[in-house]
Amino acid sequence: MCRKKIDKRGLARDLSFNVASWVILLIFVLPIYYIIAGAFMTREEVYSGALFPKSLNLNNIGIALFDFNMLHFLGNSIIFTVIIVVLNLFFCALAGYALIKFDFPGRNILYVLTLVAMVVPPLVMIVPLYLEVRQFGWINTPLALIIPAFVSPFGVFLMRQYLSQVPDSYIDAARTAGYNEFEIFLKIIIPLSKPAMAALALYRFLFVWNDFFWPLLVLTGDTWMTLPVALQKFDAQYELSFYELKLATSLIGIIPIIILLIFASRILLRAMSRVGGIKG
Amino acid sequence: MKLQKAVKKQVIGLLFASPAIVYIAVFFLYPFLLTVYLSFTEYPLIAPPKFVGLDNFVTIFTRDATFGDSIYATVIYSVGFCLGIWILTPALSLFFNNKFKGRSFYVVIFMIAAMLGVVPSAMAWKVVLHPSLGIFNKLFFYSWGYTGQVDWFSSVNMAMPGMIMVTLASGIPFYSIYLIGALGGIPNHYYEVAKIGGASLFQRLRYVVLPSIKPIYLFVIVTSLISSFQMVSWFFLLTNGGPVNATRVLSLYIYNSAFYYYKFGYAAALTLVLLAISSILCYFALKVMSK
Repeated sequence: MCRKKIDKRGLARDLSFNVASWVILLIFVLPIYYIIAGAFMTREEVYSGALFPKSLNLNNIGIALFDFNMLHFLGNSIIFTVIIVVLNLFFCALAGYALIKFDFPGRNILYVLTLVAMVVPPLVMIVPLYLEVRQFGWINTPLALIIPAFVSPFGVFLMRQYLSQVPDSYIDAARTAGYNEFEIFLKIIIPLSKPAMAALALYRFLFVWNDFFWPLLVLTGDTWMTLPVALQKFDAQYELSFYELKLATSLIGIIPIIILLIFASRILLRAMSRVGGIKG
Repeated sequence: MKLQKAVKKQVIGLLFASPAIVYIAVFFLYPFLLTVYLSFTEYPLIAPPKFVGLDNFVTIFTRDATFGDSIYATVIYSVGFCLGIWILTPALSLFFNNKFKGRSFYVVIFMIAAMLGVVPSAMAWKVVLHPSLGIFNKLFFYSWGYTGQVDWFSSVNMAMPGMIMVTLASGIPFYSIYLIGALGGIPNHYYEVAKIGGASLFQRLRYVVLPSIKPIYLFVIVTSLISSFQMVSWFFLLTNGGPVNATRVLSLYIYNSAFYYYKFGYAAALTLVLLAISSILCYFALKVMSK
């Protein structure tokens, strides 16, 4: 962006686009803004509807984290999200690789079912899935969250699409070089699919981190409760009070999202524009 | 020898796919079939399911007043939400497709708004939309001299518009990401050729932009339609169906039936009704739109 002469018309255009952007974004930014601002406000400021905090006091965040134990729930959220994302990466890559590079009985059925599972709304599954998980005795154990999410149909689809670009000759060459099939997957396929895996990791991170309804149903005890559920329980228990703490807890919850998107928004953009490949 | 190799490859493929096969069977196919089975039973969780034939469906369509309320609420909500998404998403995506200084900053903010998470968003909206103290009413009503009280979420008339607005505030950015990604993929020379050829703005939209984003716009239309029937978390957090069933959408009613009244058979039947309605609507949406 090095212009020798300042282009006046370009400047006016940039300026008007920037003003328009702020007007458009105003309503979308409102919750983000108020989470950030409110987290630093005193209780009186929040309850008088102040626009800005007078000073940046960290009391709310400290009280929420330590006195109301949000640190523990934050830890749970991190543990679950990391485990699920890692499992998803491995198993989706494995299944995507099998679907595009191997011929086995039932391959097409598996692919079609993966697409259907991608489109069928999660709510349809919630009642029977709850009964199933209850039957397995997983309620209030980490398994209730991890096992029903260890494969992501979207992830399988994404990896299959991506790996279709890898030429078969790479794989054949590795076979001739004496690699066994699992070594090929680990040493050839996984390194090759890094861009798709980054996209999948980010996409799944955001969804697992934000997931609220399923953990609300299956993890009701304090031991394994995740941050969004803990925040909702806190809100329900102290209706109408402690909003400064609720906003502080919200801020803790959205910081990872903000950081990830500042650095990796392009990756997410790529992941989401890929789904356009399927027709409806 | 060669045959052996082919068989070996099939076995390896099956082996690699087996986690996904197990997943689809155990966490997709089986639960789906279970829903169908349970919809013909009465299942209060403390006793095994009791087969009752079509009783659940008969009750839903003839005797259940709450179901009627929930269908009414769902239709109002779905129309409001979908119209908002279908119109504003392409408009805003086209706006952010313009190249200007600072564009990527706004796109990142837009993406953060899309991915904020339902619980933190709900907390923020509860404060922001508070009738007398919230900054929303101050900014948009009271500072312009409006003296009445705007009771978001707690008055029968304003609860649903409030829910539509709040979910659009996260839905529009979310669906725009798909379109912004797709628009970014249109090669620049397409526009240039069209410009040189003397195409007007409208013609460029009609003949360059629209055809290249049509598949993903269809995707947005269908997925937003499906998700408008699924917004259970938002309603659970912000209104919980009130006031007087004004926002008890079908998804929330399913949740209530299962996890509040412990009528799992009835909830399964309601789930199938919801699935049927959204499938039929998607079918028509696709049929109309793909013309």
